[in-house]
Amino acid sequence: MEQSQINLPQQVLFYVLCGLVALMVMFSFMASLDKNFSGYEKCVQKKCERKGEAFCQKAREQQNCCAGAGGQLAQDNKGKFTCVFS
Amino acid sequence: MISWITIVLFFVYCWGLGFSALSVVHKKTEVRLEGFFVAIALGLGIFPILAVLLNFVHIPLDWKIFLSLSLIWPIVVFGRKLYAKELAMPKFSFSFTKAELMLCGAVVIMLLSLFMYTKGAFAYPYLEDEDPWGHSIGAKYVALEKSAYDPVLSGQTKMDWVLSYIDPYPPAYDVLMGVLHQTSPDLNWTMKFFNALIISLGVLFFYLFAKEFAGDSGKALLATFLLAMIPSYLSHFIWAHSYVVTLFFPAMYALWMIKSDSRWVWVGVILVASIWVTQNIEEPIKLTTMMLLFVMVASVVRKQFLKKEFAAICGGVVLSLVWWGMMVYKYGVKGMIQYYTGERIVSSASSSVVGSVSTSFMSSLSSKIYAVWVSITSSGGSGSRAYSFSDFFYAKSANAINNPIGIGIVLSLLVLVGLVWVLWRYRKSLTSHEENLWLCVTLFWLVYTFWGVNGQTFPFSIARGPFRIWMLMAIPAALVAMEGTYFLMNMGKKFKVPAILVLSFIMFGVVMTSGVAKFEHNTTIWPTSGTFTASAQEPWEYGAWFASIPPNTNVFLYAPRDKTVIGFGANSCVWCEGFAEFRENILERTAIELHTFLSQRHYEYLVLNQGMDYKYMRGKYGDEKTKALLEQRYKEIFNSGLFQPVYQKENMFIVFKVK
Repeated sequence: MEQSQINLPQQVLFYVLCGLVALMVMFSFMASLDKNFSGYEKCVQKKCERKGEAFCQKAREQQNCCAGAGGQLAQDNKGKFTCVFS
Repeated sequence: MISWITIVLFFVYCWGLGFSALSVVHKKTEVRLEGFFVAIALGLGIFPILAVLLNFVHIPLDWKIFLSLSLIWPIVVFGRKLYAKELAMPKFSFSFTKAELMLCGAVVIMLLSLFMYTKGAFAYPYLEDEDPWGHSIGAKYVALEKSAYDPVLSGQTKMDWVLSYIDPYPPAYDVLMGVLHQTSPDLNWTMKFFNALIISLGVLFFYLFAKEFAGDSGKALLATFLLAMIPSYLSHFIWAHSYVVTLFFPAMYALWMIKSDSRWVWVGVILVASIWVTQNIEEPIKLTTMMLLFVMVASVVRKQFLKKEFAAICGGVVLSLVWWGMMVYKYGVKGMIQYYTGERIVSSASSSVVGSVSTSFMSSLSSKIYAVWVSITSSGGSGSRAYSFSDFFYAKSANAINNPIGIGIVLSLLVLVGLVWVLWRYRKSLTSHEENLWLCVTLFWLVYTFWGVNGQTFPFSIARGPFRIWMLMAIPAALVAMEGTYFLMNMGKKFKVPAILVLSFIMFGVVMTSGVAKFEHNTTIWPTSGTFTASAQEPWEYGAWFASIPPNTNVFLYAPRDKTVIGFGANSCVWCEGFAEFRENILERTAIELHTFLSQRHYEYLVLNQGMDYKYMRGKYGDEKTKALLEQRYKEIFNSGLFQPVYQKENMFIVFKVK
């Protein structure tokens, strides 16, 4: 009975909602695979390409990339920023 | 310095304007006091566009005008009733309905929030970070000049020369603070208190909205409690976001009420317009998207296009052109695009013009549209980053001060349980039954905001500035978590566990895993501007000295940081003619010239701070020359006899009385 009262747009809306929720879950899972050093490097590279070297080497941007990859920002022997994972 | 009269006036402005709006829709609430709080919500929502309209026709933004406008209609109604001998004292009884008790609960949550936010805001004498100092100049300008358009100064070469948060930045937040400052002498207190009050009132407004939206006062109260506990729902950071997010609830309330009385369209138009003149496009775009999602979902569920609700949203955006149209007229389309997106769009458009003839128009248009789309969905922003599971799951006491992140363990689990439960329990009735409409809309809001927050981790971003979407995600998260809680309470009943026990257990868990972190974060001492160079103690010392002089005393910092003076509650006419020019070459001015300038403008104090002065002047003169010139000027100031040292903090700053 309930099914018959649903018109096409309502069905479509329901499937769109389910699809979006499924995408959310899938993308979240995919994003969790990037939580490593290569995720940090990718993030920095993306910022460098978009806004230049001076921007992407800023401590704040490095920190954002590192925290996003699940690491902690540190400096190597040469004083260059790097991301450390425990 | 508390201004009780300004607190009363704030509620009178809001109630009066809201009462007038409620008279239009003839809304009468059955719950005692609810009408009062709905009026406050609507009135706070009417204020921004009213201020912009007054400003547009060059009526001074004066508190007496706002007071008069807010009281006109209530006085008329009172007079009519008096004349008709219909005035009667409302009957009072000690018996309360469930809805009245729930409203009292929401007021208690609001007051506890206010306690938390004010405790944190007044834990230090300065304003935090940078934005609040900028807003303080805007508020001071409105308070004194009673206008929300930038002053026209000779020699002005660029946009936002003096006032960063007014013109083209929509001015409502600074206007509200400025108007309140007209009756509350201490700007520092005014901004801290009323910012906290607006955020706390937002929690109450959420209750009023959720009660209509979910159709249950008990559910609304629980959702309100959960929202108040979520760390990412607004900190006491002073910025326009506090106001614009708060306005979302009365706006949605009005849109929701249109189904019962189409006259709410007019209220909706006003409130949507207010959203668009309160914050600089970013949040208005997101909030309008959420409202459009409501219209879209409700149109499908109700099997008819919600043209009145849609018209209210569009009408509101159009009404806001009173501000934005003026800005385009003033700065030009190109200027406005440059202001929001930098050179990218304009240059891409102009390069297309000189490109191939066959594709010139289309490529120019498409590149413009694409660039605009990229700009409004950019996942960049100073605080934005990729967020991980732990960022959502664990609420941290050490958090971002402007927009904290995190939901908390129990709340996150409740959201997950609620999401799965709602999808499984209601399935297709979510999109076909009117009583489930609010749930369906909430889920779409959750998807939109969660996707927005994850703009840097998902394949593409759908909203600008992920870190500023955390506060919006808290809204659907609270509603879905509430459904999760109800599910668990019903489950408990099946196992003969009393619902109250389950509820208590959950609330305890929420407080421990979200509320405690939120309280600690919002009551700890926050850092301030990079202006202060000597030590972490320096802003405290400045605060102590500024507290020792009367509010609004004219104080001149040698370093170009006048917003510091204003934010601490003193005064400096940074927008006055000739001020910027004098500052520009201050190191080339002798002590006599400086004294003449200061005494002509009635400055009482001059503050020198070697570290600060050097920091802000070396850019123009270079390290060596700055040091040499500063030394020379300091000597002149000391030896001129025109300035008398009256206060000193070693290695920090020295204050001179201008003779």
